[in-house]
Amino acid sequence: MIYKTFHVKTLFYLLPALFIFLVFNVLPGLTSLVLSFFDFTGFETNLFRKFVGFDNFIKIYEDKYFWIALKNTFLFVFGAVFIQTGIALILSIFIFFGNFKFSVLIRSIIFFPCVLAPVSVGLVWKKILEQDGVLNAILGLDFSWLSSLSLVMWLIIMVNTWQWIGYNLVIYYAGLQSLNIELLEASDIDGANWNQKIFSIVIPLLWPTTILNMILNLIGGFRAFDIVYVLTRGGPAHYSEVLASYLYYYSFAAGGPNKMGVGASVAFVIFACILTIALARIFISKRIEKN
Amino acid sequence: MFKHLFKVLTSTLIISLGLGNIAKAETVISVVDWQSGVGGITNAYADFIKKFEADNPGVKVEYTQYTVTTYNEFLKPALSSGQGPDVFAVYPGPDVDEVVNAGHLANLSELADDEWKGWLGNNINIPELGRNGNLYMAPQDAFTEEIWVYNDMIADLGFDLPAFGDSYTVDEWVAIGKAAKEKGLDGLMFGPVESWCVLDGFANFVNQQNDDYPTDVLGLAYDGEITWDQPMFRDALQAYKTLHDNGVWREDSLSMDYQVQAWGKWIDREGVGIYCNGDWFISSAPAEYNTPDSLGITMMSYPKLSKDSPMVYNKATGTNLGVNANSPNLDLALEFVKLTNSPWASETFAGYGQIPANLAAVDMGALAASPNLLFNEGIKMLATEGRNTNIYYSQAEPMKHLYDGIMEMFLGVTTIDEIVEKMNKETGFSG
Repeated sequence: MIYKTFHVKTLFYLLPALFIFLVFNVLPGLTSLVLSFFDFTGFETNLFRKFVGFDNFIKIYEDKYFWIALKNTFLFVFGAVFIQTGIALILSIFIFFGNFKFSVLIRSIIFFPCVLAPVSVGLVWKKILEQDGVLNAILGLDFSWLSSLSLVMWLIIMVNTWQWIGYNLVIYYAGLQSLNIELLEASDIDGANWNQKIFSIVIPLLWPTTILNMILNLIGGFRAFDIVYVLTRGGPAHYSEVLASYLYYYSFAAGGPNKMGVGASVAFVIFACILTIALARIFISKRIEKN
Repeated sequence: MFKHLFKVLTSTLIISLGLGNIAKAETVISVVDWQSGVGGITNAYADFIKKFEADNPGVKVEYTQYTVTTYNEFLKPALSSGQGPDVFAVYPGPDVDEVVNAGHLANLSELADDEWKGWLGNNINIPELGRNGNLYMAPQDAFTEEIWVYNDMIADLGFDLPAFGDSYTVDEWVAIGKAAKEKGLDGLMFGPVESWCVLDGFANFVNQQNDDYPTDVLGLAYDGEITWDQPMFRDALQAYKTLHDNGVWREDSLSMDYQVQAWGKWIDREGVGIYCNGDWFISSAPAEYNTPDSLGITMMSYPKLSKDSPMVYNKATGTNLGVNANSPNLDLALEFVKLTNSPWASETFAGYGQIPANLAAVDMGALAASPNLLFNEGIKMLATEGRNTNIYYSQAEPMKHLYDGIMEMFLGVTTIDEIVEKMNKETGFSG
């Protein structure tokens, strides 16, 4: 009886959030999935006017820019998950154990870009990286950084890392503050040097925090759009396109192909990527727990 | 406690309903376009709205402007959800087909009265404004699309300006670009991130070699009816390659848009000329180069492929307004658009340096003698004899492939041969 009451009450309390979740997340998600099987330009009132089967998926499969966007997305995610998390880890350990006089100020400066709108960050960095921008003025070069096929994605990753590293750093810092200091003191008595303390005690103990940071960056990485759009609009010639900007191009871009059905199929690919990684994570976590 | 809460909620509800009714007492006509930043349009519309509201007491016009690049983010959800504005602009090209096919545009051929049709004059026959023999869009402003240069910069580089109606050749632009580079400047500012900036120039290059003019050879090629593997298309691609490879515009242009970056840098005098500019920016041109006493800017058409190439112009209507076929205020919406096509509205456009589309409704001679010298040049350009180029096409997919091909050619990852081959394949040209 108590169990039943609990269930009804729980459900009752959950209803508002559940309703919002269903209406604003599940329903549009399902609509988008269904839409990926229809020829929809975005203007029609009847969304499901013309069923085209898997044509939209075939279209993106045959489009080389889709594969460029997919590759770039994974590169961006790699940058966010490994490079960003790695640098944040190093910085947080350095600042935490460095006992700097102005460590609060240093942390604040590193965190500061996180409070800025990505569009503003993108615009500022665009000014820096333009051919007549600040960077070339300092280096005395006349190089087009954002039009370089080999560099453009790495520059986007760098800007994204610059903006969000403070966020990871704060999480790491909280993790470091909750570390059991006695372990470090015991290792001191055992004669451990700093390398041993960092690599054998601190980093392993921070593993849950690292996982958290990696997951947050992974999700953020797949959703990347604003920084790419502002810096390059996916250019030059779609070579810095990520899946989200490629979706936008197909769905809304002025002078673009005007095919929201194709855009919906790209959205499905993004969903499938995130779902696969989420399932893999659950599977791996369970295996680790079991062992 | 509950009694108090009940009172507060009831009062709030009554006030909300009351305010709602007050708001409902006014009929609102929503008008939306993509001309944000174009001062001449904004100012003219402010006058139209003032007059329309004065002529129709109890009616309020809500006018919203978006930028070119963000317009469809608004329009698509609005139309597909059935919440579209009463009056709205549609990008010329494939969008018009799609909006007409979706049944959102009122048929002006049936709904416009004789007076309105008289004002529209020959504009009724502009293919871009209609589909299937019916008129759906009412043109607002007209323009020529070309290159603008600063006269003093050209002189500083040691070049002479071409006579009115003429333009530099591709080779001359290469020479200007090299001279400009030596002074740390660009020959041309170029914003190819906006695809029309690439495609419209291409259309001009093709039309220069169009021996069958006025046949629209590019339209035929987009339809797959003629091969892309012929000199007029190859030479047009080569012209772009020559301009790019010789640094007439900076490499960085490939990630630049036209409306903000290229235009902004030209205003800052980082480049001698601006490519694919048009009369729509007359009202936004730097005032110090356009005083009633002197004009420091010259308009000229796209680069000629050779000295012997015929003069070819890109002329079109800019903002085209449609009336929402499902508008609850259809009659008022039609009245508003009719007003924007009236002779008074044309004079108003002209007064703000915007060339009206309904030139038949105004005195061209008087227009071309205004104190706005740049505007006068625009009027003269529009009246210039020469081949006109169609810049609006409905074949979205072939256009996308051509644009991507040209951009890749700039980057050096594709060749003219590969573009030609791909275009034949994508357009379904079977030989």
